[in-house]
Amino acid sequence: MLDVRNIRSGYGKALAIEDVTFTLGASESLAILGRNGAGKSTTLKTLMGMTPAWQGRIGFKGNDIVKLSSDAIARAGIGYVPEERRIFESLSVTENLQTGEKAGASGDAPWTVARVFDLFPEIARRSTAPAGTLSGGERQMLAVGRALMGNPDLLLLDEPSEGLAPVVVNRLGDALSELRRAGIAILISEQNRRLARLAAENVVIMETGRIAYRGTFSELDRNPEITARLLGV
Amino acid sequence: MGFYFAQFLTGLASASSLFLVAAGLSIIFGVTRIVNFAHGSLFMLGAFIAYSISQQFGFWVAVPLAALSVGAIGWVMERTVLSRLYGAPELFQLVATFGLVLIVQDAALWIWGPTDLLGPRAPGLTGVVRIFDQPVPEYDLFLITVGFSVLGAIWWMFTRTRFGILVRAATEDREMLQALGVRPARLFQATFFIGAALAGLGGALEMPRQPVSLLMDLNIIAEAFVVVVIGGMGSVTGAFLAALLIAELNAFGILILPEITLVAAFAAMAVVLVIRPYGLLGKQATTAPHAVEIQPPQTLGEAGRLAAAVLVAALFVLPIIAGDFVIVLTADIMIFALFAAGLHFMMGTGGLVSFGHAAFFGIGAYAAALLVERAGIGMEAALILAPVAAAIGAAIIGWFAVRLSGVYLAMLTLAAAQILWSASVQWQDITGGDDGILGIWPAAWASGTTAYYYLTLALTTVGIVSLMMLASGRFGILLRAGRDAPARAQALGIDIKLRNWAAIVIAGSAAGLAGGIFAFSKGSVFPDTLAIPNSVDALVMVLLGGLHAPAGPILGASVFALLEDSLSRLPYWRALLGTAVVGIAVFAPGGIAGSLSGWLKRRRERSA
Repeated sequence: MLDVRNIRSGYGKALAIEDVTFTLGASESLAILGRNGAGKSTTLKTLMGMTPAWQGRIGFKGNDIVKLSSDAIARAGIGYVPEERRIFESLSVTENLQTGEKAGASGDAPWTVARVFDLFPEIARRSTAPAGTLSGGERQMLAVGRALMGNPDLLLLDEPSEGLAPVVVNRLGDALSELRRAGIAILISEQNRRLARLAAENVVIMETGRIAYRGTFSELDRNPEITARLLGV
Repeated sequence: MGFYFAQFLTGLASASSLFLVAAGLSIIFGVTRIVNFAHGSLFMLGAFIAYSISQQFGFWVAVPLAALSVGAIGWVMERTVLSRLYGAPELFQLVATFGLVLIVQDAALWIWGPTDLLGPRAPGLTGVVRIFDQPVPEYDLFLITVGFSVLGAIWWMFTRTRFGILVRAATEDREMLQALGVRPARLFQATFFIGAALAGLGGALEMPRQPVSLLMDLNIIAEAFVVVVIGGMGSVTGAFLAALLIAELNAFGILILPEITLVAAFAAMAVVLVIRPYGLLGKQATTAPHAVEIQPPQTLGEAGRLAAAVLVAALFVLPIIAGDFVIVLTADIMIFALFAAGLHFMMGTGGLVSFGHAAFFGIGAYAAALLVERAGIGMEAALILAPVAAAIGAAIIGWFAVRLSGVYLAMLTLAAAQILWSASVQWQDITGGDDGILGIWPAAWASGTTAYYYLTLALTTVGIVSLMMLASGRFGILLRAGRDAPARAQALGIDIKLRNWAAIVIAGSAAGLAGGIFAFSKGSVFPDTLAIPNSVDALVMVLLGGLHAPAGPILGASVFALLEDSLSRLPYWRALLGTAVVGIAVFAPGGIAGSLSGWLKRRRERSA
């Protein structure tokens, strides 16, 4: 479904990622691990069209989306949960979810406000509150819910565990496993391996803008020296 | 008691139109982050179009049709000009909408002619109602109802419709909204349509209250800026409260002292900004950081110094070979080069946008004239005190201005200049109003075309060279640090506000000196030295020359003066100027010097 080939991208004149290549099938899931500054966020932003790719090809459901603007990419079926969450603070929780609706979506679209609230009862209780008053965990749930409202086939999550308490991370992990079972493909960038493992089966590790390792979590567990070298733990 | 209540209602009625304009301005800014200087022009077009339609179909058909037509015009503006500028630096967006003001001015002049038009009164609402025994026009009550209804309608739209929710989301984080699949272009077009239609409605509804004239655009935009700054950018409720405040201040201020009303608006803004820097209901704007293009320092190279020396030498021998006409034209160019150089210093090096730079030029000119005329002092002292007076004015305006970011700064300076201009027209006892102050001639030793030319050459050279040295020296470096990386500069312990304030005062005194020299060279001072077109001229000179080129203002002033000399005899000169301004902003943001050096660089790279 997603076919990323040799993308290279950066900011201004500074190169941030190079020669990034990976594929992801329908309903599959992949975690990108790596230290700060390894290029994880840039990779996701490039996929999303928010940081233009300098080179390379991004195939999604058979079409090349590398030249599309981020709104067209979102409409093609990719949901994006940014690192800083970027919820709309002055809007209520429900209104935030409504911004994620695609214009002209039909009534039988799988994701609705009610279904997001089923997945995250925590934010259902706050439905009319301004999103600016939510806690960090609630904000993250709202950001995920907002992306789901567009009924994506692929969900991009950028370091969702950042700044969250362990109990909230577990809660998020449960929700992401549920989404996988529902057939949504997931591409998650993480530093938290526990959450990454809950969300994905395959893994790539990035180092200084390039992919330094690719495999599965079980392989990674058998080779602790890789983890030590590339992640420094 | 009854009288004061009636006066209060008059204020409320005036607040309605002001609110309609300010609300549109605020909504457009919220979504597109563009301060639409042409918003007053849309208001004016609303009045003119409503006038024309009403001649055929009557008042009640004219008002809604005019609003819709102006909405459509706003949509076209967005499509043709502004949509090309969303990624451009703030300054060029501001300047482009300013160009649109000039174009609309001449378009209106061409279509409707220069005379004021008296619109029809609203059929069915021509009478008065007695409230507490005081006559209150029915139409005023209608306007009050419209104001509240529009506020209600906007509130409904913002909270109950998908479009409204998207508008509010876009006001917070446009990029994120786009990543959720919302097409920004459609949202911007719809926003522009609605904002423009509100302005058009405001203009159309003014028909029974004031004659439709070509002055409506700048009068309302200055007031709308004050309202938006007081209310908080992007807040519609804030705009409503602020419009009310300003209109009531006007309604009651006029009872005490008619001249005070303009000052009162400014004083109200000052008080609000000191207490709440982002306005009554505003929040600190969280604009996505613009891509800052780091500019090289503004220093003259070896070749530049040589060219400057040659230029001064050439100017020195000019009177020997040239006739009076050329000498006077050249002196004018030097005066404007100094005026532009100050603005260039403030905008190019400091990144501080002024759309009311004529304020300082005018203060200098009026200070010189008043000192000679009323205080009876000589030319020499007047030329020393002119920049001092302008520096004081700049210090006062600048004190507020440095608290604000780019767009607020541009609005504040424009509003200040417009208020000073109004004061110069209305305060006849002191300024002579439209008749100006006459008989301001230089001292005996400096009188005569050639003698005064040399005085001008000396003063402007000193002024411009000082500005260049300041820009390339330590002060300029710190200013640029504040412009390009304010957070980092602050962390290094640089007091950015203080430096920016100093830059405004310096730019203001340069303009004041230019104004003083100008007053003695013409022998008179008129309100147009303070008027918006004079500010625009300075701005065009700076942009034409190149914002980031040291020689920019000299080049810009020369080309501009020569163009003006040949083109200003054409009937629609301002529209040409406006088109040029829009063209520079869209196609050649580097100006003449920038384009030239870019071209040279490309050529060198190709041959290398």
